[in-house]
Amino acid sequence: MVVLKESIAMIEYEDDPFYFFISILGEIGVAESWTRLFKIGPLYGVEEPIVVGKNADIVYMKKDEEVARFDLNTEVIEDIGVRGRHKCCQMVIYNESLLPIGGMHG
Amino acid sequence: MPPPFEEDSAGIFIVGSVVNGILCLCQGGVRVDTAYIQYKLEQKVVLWNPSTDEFKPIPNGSFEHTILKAFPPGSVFEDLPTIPTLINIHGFGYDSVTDDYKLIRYFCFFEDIEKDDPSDESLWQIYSLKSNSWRDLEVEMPNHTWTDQWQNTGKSVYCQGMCHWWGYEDYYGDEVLVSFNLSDEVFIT
Repeated sequence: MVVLKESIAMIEYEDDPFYFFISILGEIGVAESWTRLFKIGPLYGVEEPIVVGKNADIVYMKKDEEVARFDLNTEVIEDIGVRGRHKCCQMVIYNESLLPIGGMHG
Repeated sequence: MPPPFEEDSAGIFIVGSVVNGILCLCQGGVRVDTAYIQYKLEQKVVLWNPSTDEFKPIPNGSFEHTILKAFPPGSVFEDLPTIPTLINIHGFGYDSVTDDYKLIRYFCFFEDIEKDDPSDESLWQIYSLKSNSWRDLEVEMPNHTWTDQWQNTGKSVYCQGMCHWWGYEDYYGDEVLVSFNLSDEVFIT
């Protein structure tokens, strides 16, 4: 599950051949409001998806534990030079902020 | 890594999403006081802003009273300290109404942690950074508790004042999306 354009989105996948499906939730609490946005594939050697990035690129783990990125616009696949361990890898979208955490001074 | 994790950074995961540049890092989460030493883990939770290197360890808080509430004297468990307990942080987010960061955690109890069969009793607590304390929540929400490191599979996110996670209605139930509002402490599925 990821946040895309201020909405909740999920990545589903089916194997053999491997397709990703990205769906977005229109209204919180309304199961019928899931809308499928993208179908991506077929892709090969995929273990499982990790995250969808801001540019609608999808990051996934390959069966050899190498982490790859698929660019939806150019349809180019590239290894990003990160490896998972035990088929496990977590990624989050990071927005830099210099704000203090707060709450520490009372 | 912030100092609390400098010595041992094994099994750390990020809870939910990055909120205003702050990550919530979590390690461990099973509490067993006796019998199974290998499960004797303490949970460490730290808020961390990597850009400023500021960090804030979150206190574990007290949950003895919470367990007592779930299992009053004379109930199935006679010896409280030996109840294997899984503590599972389900969400981290920002409440703009009170300008406060909050965490939600779920306790489930096992008669025998070797069996994957949690007790029906369960409890939720919410943490507020401003008060720097945990308090009980009177809700029953679908939870995600069958594995202790499920957050790193991306099954929880924060978005616009709400924490969202995939939870199970019951053991055999379907996964449902739970959306918990950090301001009014109400959830919808």
